[in-house]
Amino acid sequence: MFNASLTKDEKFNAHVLELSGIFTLDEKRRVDRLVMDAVCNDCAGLVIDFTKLTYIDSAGLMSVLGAFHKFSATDRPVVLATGRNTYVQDKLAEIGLGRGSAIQVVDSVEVAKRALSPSARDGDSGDD
Amino acid sequence: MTDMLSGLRRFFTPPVFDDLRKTERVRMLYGIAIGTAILVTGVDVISSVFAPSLAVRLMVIAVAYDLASLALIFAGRRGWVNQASLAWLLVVWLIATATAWTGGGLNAPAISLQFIIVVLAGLLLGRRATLIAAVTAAFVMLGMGYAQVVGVLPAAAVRPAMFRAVTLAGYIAVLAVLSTIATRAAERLRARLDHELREREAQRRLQEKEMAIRQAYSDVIEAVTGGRLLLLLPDEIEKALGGAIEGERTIAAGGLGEAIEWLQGTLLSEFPQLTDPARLVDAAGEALANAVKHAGGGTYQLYRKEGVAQVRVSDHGPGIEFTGLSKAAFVPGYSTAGTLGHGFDVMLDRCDRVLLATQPGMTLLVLEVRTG
Repeated sequence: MFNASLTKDEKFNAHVLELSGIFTLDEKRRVDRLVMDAVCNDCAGLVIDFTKLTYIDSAGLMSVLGAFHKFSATDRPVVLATGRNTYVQDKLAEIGLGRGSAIQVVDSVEVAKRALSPSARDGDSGDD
Repeated sequence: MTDMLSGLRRFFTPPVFDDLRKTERVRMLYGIAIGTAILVTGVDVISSVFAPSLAVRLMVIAVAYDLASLALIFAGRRGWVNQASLAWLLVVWLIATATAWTGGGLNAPAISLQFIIVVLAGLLLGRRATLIAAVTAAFVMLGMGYAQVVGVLPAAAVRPAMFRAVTLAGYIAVLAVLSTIATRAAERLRARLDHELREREAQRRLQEKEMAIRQAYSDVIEAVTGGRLLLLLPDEIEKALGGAIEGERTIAAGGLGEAIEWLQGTLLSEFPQLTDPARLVDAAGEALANAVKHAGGGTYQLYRKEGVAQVRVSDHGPGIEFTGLSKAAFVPGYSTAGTLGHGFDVMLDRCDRVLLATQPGMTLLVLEVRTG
């Protein structure tokens, strides 16, 4: 039903938080803990993979916003990978996290990881 | 000396129990015991002035009566109202009957005490006791009369006229005391009833005012949302429901994912004509999350009405206060539970109509989306 996993890509020094299935209030605490693990770890930033997510409610969206704020406080970016998941794109846009907003939203996880690198942050947006 | 006086005052002050009725009965019991003891003793003392030969007899009667009354007060203090009243009545009846028997039968002033005992029985023990005391008194009098006729009554000294006058005056005073006690008890009851009636009336007016305020809120919310959010009463919402699809399901913490999955699957199969079932799932998901967040859980069910898919979500939580409701409905991000608070505006955005009944202890929500 729902799965959340946090992995580290050593090449890009990036944490990837993959969310799949149905993300509800029930899962919020678990996801927040994973975000905290990522924050406390030395990494360039966080990629949140929404490509396999089929449902997210307002509590889930709050987790996403929370992740953004926590990483911003340490001057590190968060990049959202939504793929062709228009459902998630629309939900993120409702809370001001669509394309063109303060958080980068890209099509794939690979693009998101590249976007975390310092050179990408300085110049290249990394969107496909 | 002061301690003794305050101890005496405490002893003769009726106690207060949790049971209001018991407190009232003990208060009456104290009034009767103390009032009649004073009168009986006083009458016997004065009567002995007019019949010195009867002084010892009168003092014995007075002491017996006073001791019985003290025992009644003692028992009443402990809350043994019924038992003490019955025992005391029996003792008083014995004293009265013995006094009349040895005082000349039907000619003795003490025979009048039978009437007073009937009144006492009613005050202390109720209607049934009145009936029993009356029947007993009748038998006592018949018995005395018969005894007098057959000549088995013991010889009695002649009572002087003033003695009889004082004794009968004393009995009238006892009746007056009993009547006063009964009247005061009735007045207290009437005052309590008046107070309760006034409180009920105030409560009724308050409820009417609350209903009026609720109706005003309801009208404003309906107007502002263009009829998309309706505040109704629970039975009005029940009437608006169509036919149920499957039975009622329970939602609790940890079960939201399963509920969303069920809704996604069932809406697809039951309402294939729904252009975007995800909209209703979104709205229902927020309603279910609210039930879990604010009430620890609730129930939900799917309904079909002509051209409309309905999801009903209910819980037994604290309800939504009206001030909170207007903010929850119209201020994006408002929440009382520390979350993003997007619940209500998502529901209003995704649904064609939202029917809501809420009060302390209950929230009932129906989300409607047109299928055609």
